[in-house]
Amino acid sequence: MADDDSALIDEIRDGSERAFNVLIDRHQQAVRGFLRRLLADASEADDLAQETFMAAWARPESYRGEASVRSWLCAIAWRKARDAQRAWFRRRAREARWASDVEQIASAPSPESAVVTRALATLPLEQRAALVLCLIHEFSHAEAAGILGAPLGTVKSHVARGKARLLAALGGPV
Amino acid sequence: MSEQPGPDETTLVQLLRADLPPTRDPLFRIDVLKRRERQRFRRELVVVLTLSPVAALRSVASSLLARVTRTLSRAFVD
Repeated sequence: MADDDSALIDEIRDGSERAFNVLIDRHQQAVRGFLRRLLADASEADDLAQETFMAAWARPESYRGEASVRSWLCAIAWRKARDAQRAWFRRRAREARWASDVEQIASAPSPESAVVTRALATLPLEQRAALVLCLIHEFSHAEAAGILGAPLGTVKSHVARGKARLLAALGGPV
Repeated sequence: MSEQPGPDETTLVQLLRADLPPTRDPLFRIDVLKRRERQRFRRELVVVLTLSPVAALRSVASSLLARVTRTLSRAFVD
């Protein structure tokens, strides 16, 4: 898959529509899943996921082959999410809106899922991102550090603390 | 992940993965492609709208220049 992905990027550099379609089909779940767990609003997350793929189409040369294509896409998505959240905080009175958004994303498939979603939403953005990348999308700590542009130790600590808080929210061990 | 998950962590991961988007979603791909085409159209429109007045100005300037040249050459001949 990784070699295939690099070949896809080469084709996208040459303007291949087919390769771009395959790239979207292959990675949309990871990018959207990542963004949906970072942002309160699923439609805003999908909007940023679309922008992520458009950025990949516009600047395929920014993929240098040092990490997987999925990591590269998640790194683009992360920068967009971070910028969007900064803009959002500038725009709005944070507490009131945030609380209502947390309620909105808590329309989860089960009560336990809702508890986890609420607890996740209370974590700081970078901690949430590290946790989502490592737990849901099975990136290694080092890969997550590369995506987030954060030191490895920070990511390990984010994951451990975030996990403890979610388990505590679920009533499990801390 | 670098560690083996315990039973509680397994439950946590399952809950977090419960509402992931579908593995295949052609509608999402179509949305990306539509958005990219709209963006391309807007860019082309900006180029056309920017270049049209320039082309019009150039055309006016060249016709004026031709008229001046004709007048001058007639004046010299006369």
